[in-house]
Amino acid sequence: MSGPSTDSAAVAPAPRPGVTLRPARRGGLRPRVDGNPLEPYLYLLPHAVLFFVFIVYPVGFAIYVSLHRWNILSDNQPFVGAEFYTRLLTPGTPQFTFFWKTMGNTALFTVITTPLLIVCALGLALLLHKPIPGRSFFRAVFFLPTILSVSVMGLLWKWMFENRTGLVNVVLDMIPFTEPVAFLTTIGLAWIPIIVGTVWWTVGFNMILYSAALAAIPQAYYEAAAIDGAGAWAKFRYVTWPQLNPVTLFAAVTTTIASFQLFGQPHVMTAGGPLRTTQSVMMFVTEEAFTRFQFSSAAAMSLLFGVLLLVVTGFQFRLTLRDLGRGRA
Amino acid sequence: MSARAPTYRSTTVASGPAARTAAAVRTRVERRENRPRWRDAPRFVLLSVLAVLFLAPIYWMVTTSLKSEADTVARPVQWWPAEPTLENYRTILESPNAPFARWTFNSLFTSLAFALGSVALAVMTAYPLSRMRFRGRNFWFWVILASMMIPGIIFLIPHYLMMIDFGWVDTYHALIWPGLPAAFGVFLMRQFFISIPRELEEAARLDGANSMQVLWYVLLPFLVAPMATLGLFQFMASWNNYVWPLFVVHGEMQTLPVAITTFSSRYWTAYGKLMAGTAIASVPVLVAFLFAQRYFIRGMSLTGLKDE
Amino acid sequence: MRRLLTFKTLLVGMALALGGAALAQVQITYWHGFTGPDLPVMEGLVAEFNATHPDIVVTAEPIPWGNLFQQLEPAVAAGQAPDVVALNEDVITGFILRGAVAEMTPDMLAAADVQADRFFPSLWETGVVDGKVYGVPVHSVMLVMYYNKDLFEAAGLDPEDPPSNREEFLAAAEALTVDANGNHPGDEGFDPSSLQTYAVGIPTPWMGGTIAYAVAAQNGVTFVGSADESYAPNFDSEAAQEAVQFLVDIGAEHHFGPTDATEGSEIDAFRQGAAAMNFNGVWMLSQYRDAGLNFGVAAFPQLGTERPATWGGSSHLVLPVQRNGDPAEMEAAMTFIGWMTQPEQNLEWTSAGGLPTQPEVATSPEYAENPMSALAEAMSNTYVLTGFPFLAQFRGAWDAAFEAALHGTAADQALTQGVGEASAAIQEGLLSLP
Repeated sequence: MSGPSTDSAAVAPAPRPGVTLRPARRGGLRPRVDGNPLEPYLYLLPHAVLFFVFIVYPVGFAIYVSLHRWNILSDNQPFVGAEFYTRLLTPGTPQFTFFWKTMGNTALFTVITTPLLIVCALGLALLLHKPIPGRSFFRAVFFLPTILSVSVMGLLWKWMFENRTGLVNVVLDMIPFTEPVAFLTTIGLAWIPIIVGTVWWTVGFNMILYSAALAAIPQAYYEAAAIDGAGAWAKFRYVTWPQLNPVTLFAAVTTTIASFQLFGQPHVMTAGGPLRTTQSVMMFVTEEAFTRFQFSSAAAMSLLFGVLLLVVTGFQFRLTLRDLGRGRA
Repeated sequence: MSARAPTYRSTTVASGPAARTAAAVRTRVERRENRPRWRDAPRFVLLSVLAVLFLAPIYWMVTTSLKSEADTVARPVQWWPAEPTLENYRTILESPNAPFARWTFNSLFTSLAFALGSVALAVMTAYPLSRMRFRGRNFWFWVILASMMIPGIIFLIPHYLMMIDFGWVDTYHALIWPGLPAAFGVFLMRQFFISIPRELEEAARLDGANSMQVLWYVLLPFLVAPMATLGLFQFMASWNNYVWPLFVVHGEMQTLPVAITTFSSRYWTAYGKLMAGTAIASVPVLVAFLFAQRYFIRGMSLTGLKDE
Repeated sequence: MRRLLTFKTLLVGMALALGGAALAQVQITYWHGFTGPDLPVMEGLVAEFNATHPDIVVTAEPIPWGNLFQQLEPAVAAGQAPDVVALNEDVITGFILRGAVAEMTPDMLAAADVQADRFFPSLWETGVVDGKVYGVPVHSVMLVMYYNKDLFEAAGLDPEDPPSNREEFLAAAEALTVDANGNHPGDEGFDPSSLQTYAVGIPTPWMGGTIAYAVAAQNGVTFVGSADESYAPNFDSEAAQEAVQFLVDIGAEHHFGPTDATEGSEIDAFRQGAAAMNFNGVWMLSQYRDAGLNFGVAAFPQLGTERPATWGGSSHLVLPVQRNGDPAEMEAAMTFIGWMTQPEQNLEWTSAGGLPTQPEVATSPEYAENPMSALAEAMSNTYVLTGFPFLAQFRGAWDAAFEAALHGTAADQALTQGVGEASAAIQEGLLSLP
């Protein structure tokens, strides 16, 4: 959505459950009796042109590039067929090795962060659900990091976790029985700054989603549960949690999609190190394209990755469609 | 790309539940006692601890930026700068190839242009899709909607090669145009258009207004808040965009958030200067947040009110 | 800039169309990556050129190296290339072979007063492919050793005689490494987790790879085969393993330093006076001077077994390929390149920390006052991989192999893996050449 390509359609926010997508009823439309019959198309034209140039055409172009050996300095782009795809599926090629390695890294990040972002967001929303002095202040504080850019967030947390001089290690040094840890350069531990930073940075959004959903649960349900003798946990388990299901599903899907497109955090904090253990697929694709100028290989990778992502976005789309079908969630 | 973009945007579409929230919260607050109760104390303490943890990195950024380089790594650690100084800010602002003013302008200009363009385009497109009747209307709406499914990474390479062809590498064009036709704005504005009572439009039509006049005089006044909300979100999205500007613009054409990371490669062990740069880069969004916070909330409630 | 360029092209076009000789100044742009403490010196030189050449206006654009390399090819493809670019030794051959850089004919070189035999031969050769000249050396650097004189003195070492070979290095390192209780490595009760001061940390990834490269070169390793051998990497030899193992052992075995060092943490530790030695490039000189340290700089010690050697790098001025070449601009670009690489300019440039590119400067009395002149002898021992188009591919694999070894992978295994990775990447690269 933000400018350009990478973000555009992919991260396009999915309508969340509860959104009405129902097309306006035909019968209700004003019958056109006057005006130019082309009028609606003229309104649509500017968007349609841009839509074709920057969304439809690029998809075809990406496929075309991936089937050639693209050299931006040459006028002659030899056709190589599916070569770059077979490389991605043939063990031993550099593309295979690093594409799937970074894919594994990305999956690891997603599997850890998505539940964390759901649980922490729900926790914060629950803490803030009942009135408490300073509630709007707390909410603003937890939401605040989400407005920062990934570079600011990355530099901040890199400095927090810096091997010797970072605040985290300064504190670890002061606490008895703990010692400074080289987070950023130790295999495995390098994920900690990335994950902590990501949770700090994005938890506020899911928190807001949950706050809204919590407030929407009819009080009567709790009263009924209370009459049945339900305790706090039972109320949460049998009233709150099921009522939050649509939001949880929505948050899980959008967070998963976002996590799979991980780029900025490791790019700023670890540069993918140590030993490419924190390099994400997006980082590898950009390395292939912009450092090694292998645009065709990069296009093939992004298409393959895109298709894999489609499984998730398709699921998200179905959620949207379901709402559409029902007219109302 | 960030792990947060989608969730970020999704809030704009927060409709039903979100909408109900505002109202529900309000009534509930009114209904309940507002006085603090003692059994809330543990919760308050927990929230306070969390708030301190959440603010710690920002506190550390600000204090580090006010220390001399030697003090940033000094032991014992200085929780507050021993001798606060603005030297780091002066150094980087005067640095000949750290044109902070230019970078800020680039970010402001492209984000503003992108936000305005998105809103205008979304309004223009959503208008006929929601309030006119013509062949192919539903088909086209579905095509636009379906494009939301395409993962963004697919566009990176073709867009970049197109920018080379267009001669748009290192221009503002590259930062503004490619993202404009994204479906989100159209989808959102269409939701709002549908919510406006048709009777108003009928009346204007009877008075002989053409479609442009209807849009301008009748419909847009209802859409000021949603347009502001959409604009704000698009502004922030563009401002915080990272991957695309990282590769398509360079040097003095960079946007501020991207520039501070390339800038960081120069000052990478000079954390005082680095944090000063980071602070400068976050000020505009922080200010925007403080002033527009209510738009976030109002936008949310408005999104929901429509069909209730 | 871009806009300026297009505008300029337009102007030139209009001038030509009108049939009038363009009497105006020729405007050229120059991209370089000297964005560190050397930036003001480079800008001073450009200003001096502009002042002494009223018919030419050079606009210099400093761009961090990594970005510059990313931008160059797209700019050439879009017909927006600058007129002069500085390229480093590790990328220049790749750019030449991919067709991004234009040849400088003997006539052009002669007209610009550039003579090959003025430069250190290995430097000059870096800009030559298949006997054709593509770049003129403007900047030279190498890996050196910085050491903290106060810590040397405290450890009972001669601060004016830093270690220069493996034995001296090991002895000095033991004396310089002290734990919280004042014990040295090897002493009873020595606690490697509480180092008070230490000798040196071997970092990851790029700087570590550079250090390992130097030590392997000292062991006689050549890294990659010749063009006839399709540049097949060969750095999994025993000599390479020995070099890598020795460096790994400095931290892991001898505890002469931390095992989790990064280039940044080592710079910090050296500035804080915690690390007694620091291996880094000549470009760190001014930063350490500004930190107010009592330190010395010496040639990188011979930690390997065969020969003295160190890592070296260089920058070269080249002409990117222009889609719509304007002869006047090309001539102006050559004039600029010729002027910038003259001895006087090179001497001025060395004040920013770069090494001389030509013997005449290295032996001049003016240069003798430069602290780096003490390293003159080492300069002939720099080992630069030249004429090799896939240095980035090789270095990526080499750095990763060394990093893996530092993280505990057996040296032979890490290097075998690295060779596999490098050869696959190099094969890949060969295909991408037109």
